[in-house]
Amino acid sequence: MSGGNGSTDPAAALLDVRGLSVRFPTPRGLVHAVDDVSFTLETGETLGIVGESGSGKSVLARSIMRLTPSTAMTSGSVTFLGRDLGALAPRAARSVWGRDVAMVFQNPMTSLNPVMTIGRQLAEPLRLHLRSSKREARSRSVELLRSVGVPEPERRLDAYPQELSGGMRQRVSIAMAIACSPQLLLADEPTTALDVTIQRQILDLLSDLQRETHMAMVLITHDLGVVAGRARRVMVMYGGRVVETGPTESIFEDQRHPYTACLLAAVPRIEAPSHTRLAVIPGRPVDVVDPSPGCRFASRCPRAQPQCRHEDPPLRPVPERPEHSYACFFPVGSAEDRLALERHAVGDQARGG
Amino acid sequence: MSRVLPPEVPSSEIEDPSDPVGPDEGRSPIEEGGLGLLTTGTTGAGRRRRRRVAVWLAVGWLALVIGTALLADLLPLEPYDRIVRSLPPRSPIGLRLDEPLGTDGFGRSMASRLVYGARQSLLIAVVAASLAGAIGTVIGVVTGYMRGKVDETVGVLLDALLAFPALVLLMAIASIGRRDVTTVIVALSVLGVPGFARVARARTLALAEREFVMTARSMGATTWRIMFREILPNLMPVLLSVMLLVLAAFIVAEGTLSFVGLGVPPPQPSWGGMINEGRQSLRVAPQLIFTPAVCLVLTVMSFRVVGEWLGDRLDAGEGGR
Repeated sequence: MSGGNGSTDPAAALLDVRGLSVRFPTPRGLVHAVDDVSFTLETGETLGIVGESGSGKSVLARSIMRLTPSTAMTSGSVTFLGRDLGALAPRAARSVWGRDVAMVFQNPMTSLNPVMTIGRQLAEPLRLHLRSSKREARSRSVELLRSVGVPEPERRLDAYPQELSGGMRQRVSIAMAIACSPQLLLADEPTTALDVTIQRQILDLLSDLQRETHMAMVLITHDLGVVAGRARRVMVMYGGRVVETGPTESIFEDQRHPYTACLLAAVPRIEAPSHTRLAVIPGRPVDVVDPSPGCRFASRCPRAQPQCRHEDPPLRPVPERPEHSYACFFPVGSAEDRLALERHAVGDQARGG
Repeated sequence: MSRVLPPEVPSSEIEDPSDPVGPDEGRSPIEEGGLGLLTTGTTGAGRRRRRRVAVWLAVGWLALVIGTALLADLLPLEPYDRIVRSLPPRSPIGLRLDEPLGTDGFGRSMASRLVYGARQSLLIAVVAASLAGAIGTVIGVVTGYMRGKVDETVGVLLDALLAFPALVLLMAIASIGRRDVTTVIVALSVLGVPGFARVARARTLALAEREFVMTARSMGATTWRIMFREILPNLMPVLLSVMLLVLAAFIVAEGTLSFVGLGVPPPQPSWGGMINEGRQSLRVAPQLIFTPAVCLVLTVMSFRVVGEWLGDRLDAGEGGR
């Protein structure tokens, strides 16, 4: 279980993503939604992918599942259990999706078909992949609903999605996703559309299921709190690129990238005195249409230097911890960083005065 | 009556849904007087209420027409092609109880011809609308989901079909084929396909973006399965509403064809044919034209009222999903 970036043997990994880039041609130009992203995932492991809206995390998950629109230009490789998913014929790929790799979507209000009963939707993957009979599928559906904590599962089978609450619907979508006991679950913001109290239940459910079935999970979220304690490793994305990746504790305690630091600072603290100003990251999420070289975060970074705007910072490991890497010329806490911050402050004064 | 309403559905969808439907149909005198004191006719509540009455009246009328058409053989009616010996031709409405609607120009029973005419008109309209619906929906779903070249090519063809004046197209097809029911049905079906295809395509475009389609794809469903098991059931309600509007248009279109002499061959009755035959005696016996015309207008209006009501209900229901 070495994890890390590039430090493992790809053949041993469950999922190995290498240099994945996804680009969309738009009238405004080429959108670099995902830019040269690599990571590996081992059996039973959880990887948290964190980033704000537009950071490319959803597109990343969808391109692993080949769910991106047909206009998307994808390069790089996605290897699942030694098979290149991108090169699979549609027929072979369909036998992997739903069976070995499944996905849970953000909005349980729209991710279920409104005109099909819960039972029929649950039976679909079972009948398709496991060739279950109608009766088998039904009894397995009841089991599945029970395992995701839906009360009175027999009655719920004949219900339509709109008869259930948001939390229940998300449980049903999770039940659908785990119907064929996949080895990898991609959860794309599974709790964003839910109430805070329900969020916790759903996350706990996912952790429990993972412990029981030993499946690996990619947990995509914009909320660092969701990742804490649930993911072994975290990958922070900004503007389609990985800016920092490493073991969760290492990221939380000793982050190197200014963006990660800003994200952590922006989490409101319950123990802070009331009326404390909420920390915000100034500026807007970066526009990744035809981007010029340079760090994507430079325009919002408190310590950006000329170098940051012209040169792409490479991902490099933290000296004493090879699993933890970051992409920044002036990492938080370093001597260069202090210098950069000072220079920045002087620049601000000069501009302001 | 010589104008064919093209069964072009989008135009009726664009129509202002707040437009009070069925002029006068739903306005009972009691209700007007009762509500007039408190609310003007244009407030939401009053309008909704009037509309509900209109829908009920429309449903009642349709039930009557469909019921008599279905049960025509069981009703105490003279055969539609036999001359009633005891009455002179063109005898007026209400002269005798056993022939309440009088006789036509040849002395045949108007009541019988009206009922059998309804059967003919409804049969043609329903079969043609179903055919057009089935073909148009498949075209719409496939082009809407596949997009690309197929969509563009089919789109151009359908637009060309729509750009053709409906009546000219109808008459062209009707005059090529044999003069019988099948030809009329084929002609009307061709006319109805673009309308269904457009609506089905538009809805499919919207539905294809929904996450449940993404879910189905992520579960390994085939394109075929997504189109016809996931998307198609979602289209059913809106297609039903379109179907009613198309039925209304087809009844008019069939009447028009019969009126210009390209519809069902005599002596089989149809409403359009009856109006055509009554034309010669418009001065002396206007009821020969007015009876079938009123039936036709009421039926068409009823289909539209119900269809539009259904469409609005569905639109309102969409938000809650």
